[in-house]
Amino acid sequence: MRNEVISRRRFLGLTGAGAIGLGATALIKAKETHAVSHVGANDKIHLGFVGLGGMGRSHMDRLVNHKDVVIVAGTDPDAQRRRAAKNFAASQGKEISTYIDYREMLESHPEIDAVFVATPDHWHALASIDSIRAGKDVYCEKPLALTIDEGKKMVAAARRFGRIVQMGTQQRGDQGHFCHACELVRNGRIGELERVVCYFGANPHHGFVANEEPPPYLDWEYYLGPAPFRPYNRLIHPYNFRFFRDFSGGLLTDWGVHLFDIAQWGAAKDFTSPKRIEAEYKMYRDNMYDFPATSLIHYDYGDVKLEWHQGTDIQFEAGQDYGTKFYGTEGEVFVNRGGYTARNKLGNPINEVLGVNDERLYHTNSHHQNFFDSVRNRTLPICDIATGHRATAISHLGNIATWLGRPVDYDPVNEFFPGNTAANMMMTKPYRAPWHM
Amino acid sequence: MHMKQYKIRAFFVTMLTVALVFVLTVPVKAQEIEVIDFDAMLSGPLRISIDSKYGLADALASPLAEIREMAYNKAGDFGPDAITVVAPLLDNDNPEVVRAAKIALEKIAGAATETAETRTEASRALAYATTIVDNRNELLRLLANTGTHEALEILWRISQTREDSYDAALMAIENIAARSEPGVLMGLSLGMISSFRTEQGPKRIAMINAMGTIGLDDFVPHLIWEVQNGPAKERAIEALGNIGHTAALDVVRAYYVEHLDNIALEAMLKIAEGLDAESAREFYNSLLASDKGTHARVAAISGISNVATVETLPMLIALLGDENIDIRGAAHCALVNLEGDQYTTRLVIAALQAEADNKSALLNVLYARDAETGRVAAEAALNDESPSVRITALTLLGEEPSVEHEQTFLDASRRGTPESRKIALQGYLSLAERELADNNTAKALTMFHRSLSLALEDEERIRALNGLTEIGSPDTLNYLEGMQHRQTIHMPMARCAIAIAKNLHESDPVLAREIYEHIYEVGLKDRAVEDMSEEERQIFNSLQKGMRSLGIEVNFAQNAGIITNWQFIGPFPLDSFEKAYPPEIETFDENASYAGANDQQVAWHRIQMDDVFGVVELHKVLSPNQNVKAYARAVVRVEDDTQCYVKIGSDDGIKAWVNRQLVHENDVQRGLTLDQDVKPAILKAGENEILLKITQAAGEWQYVVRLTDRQNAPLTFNY
Repeated sequence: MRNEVISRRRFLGLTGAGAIGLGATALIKAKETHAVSHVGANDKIHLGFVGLGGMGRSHMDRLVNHKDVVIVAGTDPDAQRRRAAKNFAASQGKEISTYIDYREMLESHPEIDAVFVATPDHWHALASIDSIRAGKDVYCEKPLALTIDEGKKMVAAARRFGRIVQMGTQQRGDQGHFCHACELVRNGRIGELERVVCYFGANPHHGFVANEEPPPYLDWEYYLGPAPFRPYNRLIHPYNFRFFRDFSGGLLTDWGVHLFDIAQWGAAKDFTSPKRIEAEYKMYRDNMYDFPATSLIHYDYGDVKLEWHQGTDIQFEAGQDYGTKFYGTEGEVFVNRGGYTARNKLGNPINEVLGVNDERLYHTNSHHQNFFDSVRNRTLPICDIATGHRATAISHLGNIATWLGRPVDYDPVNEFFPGNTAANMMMTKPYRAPWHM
Repeated sequence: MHMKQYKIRAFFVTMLTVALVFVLTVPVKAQEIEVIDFDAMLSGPLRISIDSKYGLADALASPLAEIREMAYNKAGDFGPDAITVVAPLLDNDNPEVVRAAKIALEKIAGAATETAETRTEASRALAYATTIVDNRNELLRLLANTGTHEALEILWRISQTREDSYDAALMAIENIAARSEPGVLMGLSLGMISSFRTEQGPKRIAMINAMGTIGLDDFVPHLIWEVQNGPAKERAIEALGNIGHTAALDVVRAYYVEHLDNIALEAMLKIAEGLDAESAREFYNSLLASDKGTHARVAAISGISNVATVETLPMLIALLGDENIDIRGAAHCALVNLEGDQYTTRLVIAALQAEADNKSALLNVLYARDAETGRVAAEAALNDESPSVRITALTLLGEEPSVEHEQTFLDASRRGTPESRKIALQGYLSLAERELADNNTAKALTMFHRSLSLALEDEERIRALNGLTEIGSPDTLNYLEGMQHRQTIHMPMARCAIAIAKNLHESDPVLAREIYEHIYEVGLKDRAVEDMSEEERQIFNSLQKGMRSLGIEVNFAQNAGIITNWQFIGPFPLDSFEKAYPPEIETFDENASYAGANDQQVAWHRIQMDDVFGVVELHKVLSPNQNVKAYARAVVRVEDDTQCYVKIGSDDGIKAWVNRQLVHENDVQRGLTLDQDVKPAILKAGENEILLKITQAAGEWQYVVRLTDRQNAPLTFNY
């Protein structure tokens, strides 16, 4: 059973000392945020939503009657989605304003305290940073950003303006067994950690679909935003932007971030990155999507190896086709959303009781509630932006090694590739005018 | 070889291929039809060689997917000189050829960027390719990845000469320039400055943005001019912030003072990060003292903490007592973030000497800086004359309570203000929880019981009940009986009672049964499933499980109209939402099997759900469970013709038929909640088939179906 009161010591223990992942020249420290809370203890938190699609509505549907919040407004370039969100709110006896452009929402609703960013990946950085700059806290869906550079800038902005930013890796917050599984690993219940495997299924493929005129309800130009111009294709919107490089990073970012987040948590690597990355992959023969069918990516931290297996034949965990598995000298722990198993080398259960002197990790029962509590009391949330950035970076590092076609060495402190011009170029994707960061 | 020659060559290859196919397949009465052997084609007279860059290009342009695949898989073996041969395929009419060319070019360019020499070669090849290809944006992206001086020059030329590639070229320039040494950028900077003087409108803004990204000091005077005289002031401010040159600070600050613009604020802060410590302190102090709003003052405090000295400490400590909660919070964080024991020592002294409010704030700072120091300071403050200080001390000690404070917490939870009693009890409960974790069950039981008696608020009662649930001792029943009037905590009480009953199955099944029935009758019977929280759902499930294990027949889900008896079949490949497989086309045959995903044969299986929400989790029973679909079928029997609602929750998409009449479809990716989609339907007297198609992208794959009447009351039906 868990102590529901979030210990201040616990979150301090997470942050470590000094600047976090911001490079040697950064002056911004991150032990605690700047406590700019305009939300009183008994006030409701006013929310704005950027993105009213699958995940945006999933959040909205769960929060519309939440005791701690008031949903004020939402934005989406898809008029059908704006209408559906408005109608849904009305069905719950609530009224919300809707806009295409999130900047108009921020301008029109100064009462907004926090913003949920649930857009395709290529919008995460802009919408989050603009919200931060406007004095809002942010709940940003995963992956944190489209590129490593964007992630770094988001962290810097959050620290500069003292904002609470939570990444939407809800496995940490909503499902306590992930925390427990990681505690078992960190407390040496499987001996010394040697290897972590993250497994997921293959990327999808799709036959050729011609470009066409965008539907009348969709502002395609706005949807593209900072991404390079391309004609509308119905495969992109509404759901499969995830499989186009201009907008996302395939399942490696879509699902990989969830699995890597847990891997880093269990391996005590929340504030660092691998030092060497090597990728193998296989493309589909013909495919509208940009990403490989299968891939195997090796990440080397030096003391621990991390592997991403996508659609490979690895003997993973009986009866499971996704998850994170920790391999130690004396046993292994597997965990996914269905639960966890922990066994020693003989296949027998291990001692799972944690004692007084064992390390306890940040625990909460609800990712949403944790964010709202953090907004009020200005403590770092369970998946603070710095942590989220590092988990997302693992996915991006894998994609860079994939497209470059050779192993790459990475400096986890300064976050760049020493002596590798091409890889460094791939850390960012500059924006299409007039969008700029 | 020019693109046109390639097209001709590819055309003849194609025609020969087609001719061969035609000759071999046209039915001739006296001859057998020959099956095409692709391997033979590749090794026979029509062999396509991928040993040269021209062969590579031919193969990439092949109408046969297998050959294109072979070609792009081999592309990484070729040097940069293959780029100009492959690039023209980007203009091919066949999108699959274009795709193959893109993959091949990426592999070639990827291999070519390994050394400085090959990067230069690749730059030149890509540069030339941009002159012979219309769809050149992919080439510009690859050019940016080379990061060479040549690439920069070429991209600049393209941006100035090709309107349709202006944006892509500028994007690529920014990418390279952001990571290049200043010397490399000299030529570019002159070109940009010269161009900046004449560009207007969106191009001018794009140029200013690019200047900010590139970050050359040479741009600063021009950007300052823009702020003072030009149309794109805000963009210039942002660019100056990105460059971070301190010469721009006064201009940016003046702009901020006039406009109170957050972009200007951020620009100022970025520039200030480049100041020496003394200048930075002066800047932040002036920003703090200015009346420019809380946002700016908070940022100033944050900045101060980065360049603070011990002389700064009194000012920060004083801010702990500011009337503005935001300023107080910012000061707290600034003090916590100061690194060095010299600050800790001074803060301890300040805490000893401070007045009540500031003392509480300083105790919090000390604890946040170092728990051990904070604890010592808090212990010393337990007997402070100020109630608020004592409360702060109790709170801090309660963060990680020590057994030596057990009596302190117990005593403090019995007297004092409600707030101090609450905090003390929370500390006491933490100790109780630790006893439980250490298997000191008897002691933990006593402490939790005591806490129940002392608790003034539900938060503490629930914590105590949680502990008592884990223990599950019948001794707790008396306490539960005494709390029955507390409606707000019926759920935690129910959970606790269920745990106790579970422990009594063997020793006292009669009492266990009484407990279950009492819980149901008093607390849960009238709860509508659609109003249930996840917590209630778990409690209902535990209750049902307990009752059934004692032989009590219950089915909460069916009481709520949820269909629990299903047959399901799958997985089938997703392809598209609309793609239909036999279960939705053919008459139902329980013994049928069909070709499913991954070439496996799939057949109908039965499942009966025990969960009170009746959610069927397909991802736990079917594999693979990504990019697939499945079908589910139920047959429900009603006595009369009935107008009803079919209420469906699904993850992800759903299509539903009642007696093969389509009642609903929703092609969506979403998480499941109960009653997501509500559709009217008519059930005929007797048996009715409910057929579902449930699509799946990734993650959870599940559905739930509920039947109600048109007044939303659960429908009564049988199977």
